[in-house]
Amino acid sequence: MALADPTRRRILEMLSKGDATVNELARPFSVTLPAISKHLKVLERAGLISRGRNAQWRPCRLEAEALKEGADWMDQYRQLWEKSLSNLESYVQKLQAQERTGKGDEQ
Amino acid sequence: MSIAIEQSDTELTFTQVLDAPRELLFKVFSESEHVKQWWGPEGWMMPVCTIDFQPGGTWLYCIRNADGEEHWAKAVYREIVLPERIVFTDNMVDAGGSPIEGLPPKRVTVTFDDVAGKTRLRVHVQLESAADLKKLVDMGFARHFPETLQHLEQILDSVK
Repeated sequence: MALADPTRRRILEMLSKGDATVNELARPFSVTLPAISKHLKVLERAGLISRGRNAQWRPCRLEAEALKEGADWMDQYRQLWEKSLSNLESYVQKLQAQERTGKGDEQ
Repeated sequence: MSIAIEQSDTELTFTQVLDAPRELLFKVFSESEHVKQWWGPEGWMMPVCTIDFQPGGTWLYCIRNADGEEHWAKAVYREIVLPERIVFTDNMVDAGGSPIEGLPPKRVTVTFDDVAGKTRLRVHVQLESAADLKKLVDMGFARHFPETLQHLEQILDSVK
């Protein structure tokens, strides 16, 4: 899992402050550049970061937008169902009342 | 009657007991003339609601507010068991019916349980990306994105 590793979580925190190169990201860690690159590949595969096109620097960027949309959506979807289900109750009551009146068998 | 809401890291569940037979509720969920009357957010109309109620069939709908803003969605029925259960996958689409990228698809299971002539209605929503969202909250990552955290807090508060 992309987020299970503390180094990868730290990398994401660093990227939340702005784009950074592999060298910049590696600085606080006592690990090799290839090790950092490996972590970045995992994060990239998980869609959590993207890499720039520039062959030499390839700055890393956090992909927070999809995540944020997900959270927004969840909130909206919950409100949508809550509202709809509350409408449903009054609508069904109305239908049943109409049905009783229509059949003329109201007590 | 009140609606109970439960939320875990991957699911959202609404439970409600309605004073109506489940056959009627099933009908109200499956026919567009009825769905149009109750489904949708506050202040939005449903100018388009076409339902092909069969496994593999689709429910295409459009909601529109007073400013003319429109959103389209397309659901596909996965399972239909009359009058007990309806399962569908729901996705936001563009006006041409193509899925909008980045928005999570969800699987919705609606169950109708008979409780002495009344109906216990349960709407269960599964969100694939919710597990990742939850993990981010757990590790404190969201504090760097105040607005995201705020949304998540609202969700979590409201379901306590």
